[in-house]
Amino acid sequence: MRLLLRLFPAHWRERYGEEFAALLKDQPRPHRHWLNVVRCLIAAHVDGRTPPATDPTTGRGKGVLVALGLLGLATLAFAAVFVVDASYSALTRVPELLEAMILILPLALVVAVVRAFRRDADQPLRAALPSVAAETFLLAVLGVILVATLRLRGQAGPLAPLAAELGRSDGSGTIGDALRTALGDASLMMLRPATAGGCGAGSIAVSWPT
Amino acid sequence: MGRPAGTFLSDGSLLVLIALATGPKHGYAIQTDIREFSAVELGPGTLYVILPRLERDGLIEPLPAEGRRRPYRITGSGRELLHAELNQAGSLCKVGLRRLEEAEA
Repeated sequence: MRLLLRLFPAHWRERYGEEFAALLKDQPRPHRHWLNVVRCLIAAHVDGRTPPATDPTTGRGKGVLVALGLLGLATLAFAAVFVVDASYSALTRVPELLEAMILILPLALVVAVVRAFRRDADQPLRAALPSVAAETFLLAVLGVILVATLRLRGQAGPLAPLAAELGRSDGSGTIGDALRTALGDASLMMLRPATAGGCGAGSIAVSWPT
Repeated sequence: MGRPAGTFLSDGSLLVLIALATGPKHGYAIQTDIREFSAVELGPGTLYVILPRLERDGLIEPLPAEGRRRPYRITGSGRELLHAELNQAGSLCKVGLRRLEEAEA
């Protein structure tokens, strides 16, 4: 906990450090609150750059948040196309960390943005930034742990069954087909020739009923 | 929505202002009071996200430290804003309850 306190910005520590440390000491079980302190840590860093509540940039902040949400959705859809395309299986060839990031970050971003809007519709960016950062970070860490654990056990990534299901391209109108139709196959076509020869070791094994 | 221009109160801010409405309090006293009147557990980190913002917005002000603890008190504009927020919440409650009663009648 002492280490966490050192990570706060100097101006924040100078102003609030002593009383915050006293408050933590007052808690019956101070270590129970480490995650809560991390949230405060992120807010302390973000608030240094955040305009005050009376700043007229609220509208712009909302626009930035909407853009972030849309970016997250677009990235998620794009990642989904690659994940569900069993013949490409790009995600089995990249390090676990990158796989988890690609899968988790956009989803976390979308979830965090939606939650931020629900929490405070008036000033979503200001309300969202600490939680977006904290939730995205935590989900990414969980994703990395999950994927790494599965890989160590010799299993495919967590989305392998989903990929097998959605990756069907038999004209049965699956979500994968719908996504590919909606987003266009151009990007996949550009990448596929470079991966000719099929998937490498560790690829997602795909089998579906005929 | 009837709020003074350029201001807003989150749920946490509202709870802190209500806690300070009865007089100056330091962090732990604010936490304890909020737990007693609302059953909400406001974590220390959350409290110190709220306090600097309220202070920056001029809704509360720090008093001289008492040892390592520093009490805060609500300012005039904080009291004014709290009044407005609670009145608005009260109106919403009345409307909501009336509609529920009408629907159940």
